Amino acid sequence: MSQQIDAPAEPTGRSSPYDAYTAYAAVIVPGLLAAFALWAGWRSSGNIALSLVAAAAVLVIVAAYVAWRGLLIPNPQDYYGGLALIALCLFAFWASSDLPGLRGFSFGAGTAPRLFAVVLLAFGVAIMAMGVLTEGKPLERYAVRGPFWITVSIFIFALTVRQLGLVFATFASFVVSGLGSAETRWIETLIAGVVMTAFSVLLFVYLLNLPFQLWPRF
Amino acid sequence: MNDLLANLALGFSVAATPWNLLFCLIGALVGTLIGVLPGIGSVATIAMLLPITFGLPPVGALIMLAGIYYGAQYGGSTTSILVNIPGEATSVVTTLDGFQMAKQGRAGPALSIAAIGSFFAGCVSTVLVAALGEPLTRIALLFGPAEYFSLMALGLIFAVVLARGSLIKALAMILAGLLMSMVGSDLETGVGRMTFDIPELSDGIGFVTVAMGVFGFAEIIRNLEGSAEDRSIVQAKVTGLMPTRKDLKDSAGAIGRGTIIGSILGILPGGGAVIASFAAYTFEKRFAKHPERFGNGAIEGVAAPESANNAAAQTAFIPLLTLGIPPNAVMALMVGAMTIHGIVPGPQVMTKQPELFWGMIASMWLGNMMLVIINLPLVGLWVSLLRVPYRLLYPAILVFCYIGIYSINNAPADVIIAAVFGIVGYWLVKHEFEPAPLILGFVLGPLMEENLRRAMLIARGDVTVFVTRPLSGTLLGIAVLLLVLAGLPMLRKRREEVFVE
Repeated sequence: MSQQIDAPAEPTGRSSPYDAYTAYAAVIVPGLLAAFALWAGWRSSGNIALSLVAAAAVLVIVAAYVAWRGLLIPNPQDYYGGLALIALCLFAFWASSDLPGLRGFSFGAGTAPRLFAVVLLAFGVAIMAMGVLTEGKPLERYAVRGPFWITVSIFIFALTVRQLGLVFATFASFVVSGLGSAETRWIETLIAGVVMTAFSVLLFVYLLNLPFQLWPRF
Repeated sequence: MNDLLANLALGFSVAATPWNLLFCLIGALVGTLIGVLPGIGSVATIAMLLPITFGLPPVGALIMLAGIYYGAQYGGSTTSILVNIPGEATSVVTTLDGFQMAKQGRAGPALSIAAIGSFFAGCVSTVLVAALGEPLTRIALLFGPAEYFSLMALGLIFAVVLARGSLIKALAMILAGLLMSMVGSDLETGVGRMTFDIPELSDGIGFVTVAMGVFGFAEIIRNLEGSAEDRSIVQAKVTGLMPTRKDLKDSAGAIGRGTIIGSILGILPGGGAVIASFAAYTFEKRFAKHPERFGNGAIEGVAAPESANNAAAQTAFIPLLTLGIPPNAVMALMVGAMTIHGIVPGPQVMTKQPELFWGMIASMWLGNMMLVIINLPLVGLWVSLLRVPYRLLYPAILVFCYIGIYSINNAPADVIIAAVFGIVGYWLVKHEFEPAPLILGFVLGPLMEENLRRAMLIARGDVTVFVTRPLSGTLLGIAVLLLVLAGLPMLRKRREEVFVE
């Protein structure tokens, strides 16, 4: 669900060198979302279908307007922010489409999620519209190094803590997360990694008595 | 008056026994120690330490848990001030000015004021709880599902009013939080909602997981991309641990107002301490002579929310003990602890086990006093955390977060979910969305849904019930008024910006 949010997050600021390649995202992303909304609207009924079709219509209109304006978006932060919220809502509609809805005046499992999603959809559309109608800051650049190595470090921890134990997982994820910064000094980080590992083991396993696997399991 | 004194005397006679004092001290110390570690807030701490208290007598166990609660919350605010990572939702607002103060080399006064404010609030709310406990039971009983729903809506609007930047984006964040909180099993039918048959999602996404991702991981990612100058605060020298006379004078009013706001909001179920800290901050900012100081290291911005969350945390025991409804995540854990010791939370606690009820209240006051005594001398120790260079600090914070998240359910998947939320949080910052309303919506989502469902069922599908019931209508009216008030200056500012251009 959350990756969905990041989908339209390409750097498309007006002054960025990626402009030539990604400017079309300003039209392609809402177009795809509109298609998805129509498809989801086709499969649902009642007010949900109505709001989905309405959202699709607004998306198409805004995309057409953006194309007419020469793909220039005055407030790209809000434009893509709104699009991401719309994507989240559409995803929620799709994910909750199998849940029972309102029966009489009794809520079904799917009523509240869809209720919240409809309201959020309205806000998403409004924020996207703000992106076209108001002046704003260009998109900021996204760092790659930090997020990438921190994510790798998290995966190392999550994937090894069960099998290889806390000692390995802590030390390995500590050192790997160090790759995320250009300022890291390796000898220092290795020593700190050992200290941190020892401290964590002492605190969590011996003082707090948490049931962690310490060493690799064979 | 006699009742009050008698009740308090009973409470102190229970809390002041050597064993209970020891439990209280251990709780406060352990709570502070763990709460101060970035990334592990009071919810995680209490969840982790719950098993330790199983072997104690019920009163001792609850006193120790309450001590951990306070200690961890205090430690959480320390982390908010020093590292800009709130341990818990209640200390989110403390980061706004607390961290700015730390940046200016005034971490010491910020920490001291947080402790002093908390202690003052603790004293006042102890007396308040003792005096109002019983009459409030009757008021709280007037609350039906419609009122609960409206109350929570009001709380969320408070969060929006607080958020900087766009009102509509903050509202959208609340709804995104509400929507995400729907993941997991349906309360009534037990059907998995938006879980895609992933077993790790069947219990929903944990609050701590989301909070650590959106606040902890995202903050670190963002810090890493900045140049070393941006976080020179971490190496900055901290001088003058004690607040100056001016600091005390500036914050005295804020502490008093924060205590009042916190005590009132804490009594009302539905997010007490969190909303209280937000509300107190907003209040200070709205009615300050120089609101532009807020967010730039105003000491009132630390004093008010820290007093308010402490007062609210204390009065939050009222809905738990009178109605059996946990107003926040920590109280939900307290319900678990009480149930394990064979105590059913509800109105009968105050009448049937007065020594437990009043003993706990009294121990909170003692615990707060201990915290001031423990923490003011130890402030230097926490400040020394600042001297660790960021290149070593951030992997340590990360690893603590990993272990903390993992320890809640022993589920590696939780750590990965937190990573996803870390990226989401980073993205939100890049698009100028505030993460705080998202978290609040996320916490209140399930409760709001439950009460909405019940209210609609009772009213037989009549939506107007929220407006026609006087209490509920009033609460919603205040919410609308707040929105209008917050919207007006924003509109004005927007116009000014347009004119400038």
